Amino acid sequence: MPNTILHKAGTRGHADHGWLNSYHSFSFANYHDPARVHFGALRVLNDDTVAPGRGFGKHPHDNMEIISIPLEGDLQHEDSMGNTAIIRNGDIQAMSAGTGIFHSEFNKNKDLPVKFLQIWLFPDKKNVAPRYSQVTLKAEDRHNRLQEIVSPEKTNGQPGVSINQEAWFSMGKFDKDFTTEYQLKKKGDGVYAFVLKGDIEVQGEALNERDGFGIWNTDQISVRANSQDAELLLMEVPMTF
Amino acid sequence: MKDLNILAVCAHGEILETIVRLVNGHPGWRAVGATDTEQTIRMLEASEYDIILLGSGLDAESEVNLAGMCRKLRPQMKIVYHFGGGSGLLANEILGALAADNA
Repeated sequence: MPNTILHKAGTRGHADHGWLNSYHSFSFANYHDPARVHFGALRVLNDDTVAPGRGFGKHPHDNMEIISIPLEGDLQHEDSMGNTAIIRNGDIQAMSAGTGIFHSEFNKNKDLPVKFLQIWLFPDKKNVAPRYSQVTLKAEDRHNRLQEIVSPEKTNGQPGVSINQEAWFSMGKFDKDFTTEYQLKKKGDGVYAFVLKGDIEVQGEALNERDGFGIWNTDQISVRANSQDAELLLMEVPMTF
Repeated sequence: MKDLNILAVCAHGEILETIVRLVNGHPGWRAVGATDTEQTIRMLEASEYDIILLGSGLDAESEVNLAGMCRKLRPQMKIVYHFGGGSGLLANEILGALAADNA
């Protein structure tokens, strides 16, 4: 029998700094809830909106796999490895912080906010050499199907980005009443579903925009779109690591 | 109320500075840093700490050995494995360690 945990959108931690409006699915910064620290190797799921021209100045990371998924607008990234990039909706960015890097993230536009998800996973190996990667994926490849956007380093060759953790992320945008099944890749993994837009039923649980739903002790997960253009992110992660 | 004394260990000097600054910015928390095992042990022998934060840069074997030394030298001290390099996880990791003690 699958185990589940439901995190409704309104129960997330919230911090509004003016230039940054951030919702935290798991404990982060000043949001501390001992019952919401991580889901398996998934440690951070932040839903950020940054004001025009503003952003995070140079700051460090280490020993985290950091995935950024822009939802609206343009995010400018610069890091201590010399990478400079702009990522926008349709792009996926992965940064293996490893032994340590510094980076900055700014809203490139002076007249529009930028909205993005920042997702951190514990790595399966500490102190690796830092690494950056970014891809642009075709929107049509996730229309009425689950498009794999993140996979482990060992299965490199997939269209998305790869990370130092046995985790797979998929995204989809669905017509109303579309149904599909997600088959987990590894026994013992769990899947954290996050609704980006619309209404989606996951394993029988009716979810709304920005709801999170964790499921484990199962081999497959059913998905049904209850609204037109519903968008879903599925994150399969090891539950023990 | 007594300050919480924290020893942060991280081989990356700039990140260590960030971690120490962030901890010292928290009311009631005081941090000092060490960049390698030898320095850490000298500091543990010289002073008492409530928490040791083990950050990046130590290889797995060194980390295990250091944790063992910590338990021997300062058995009451909490060992916290810090991830993120002085990120938004830091305060939660420390609060989590304190809560575990109170559970």
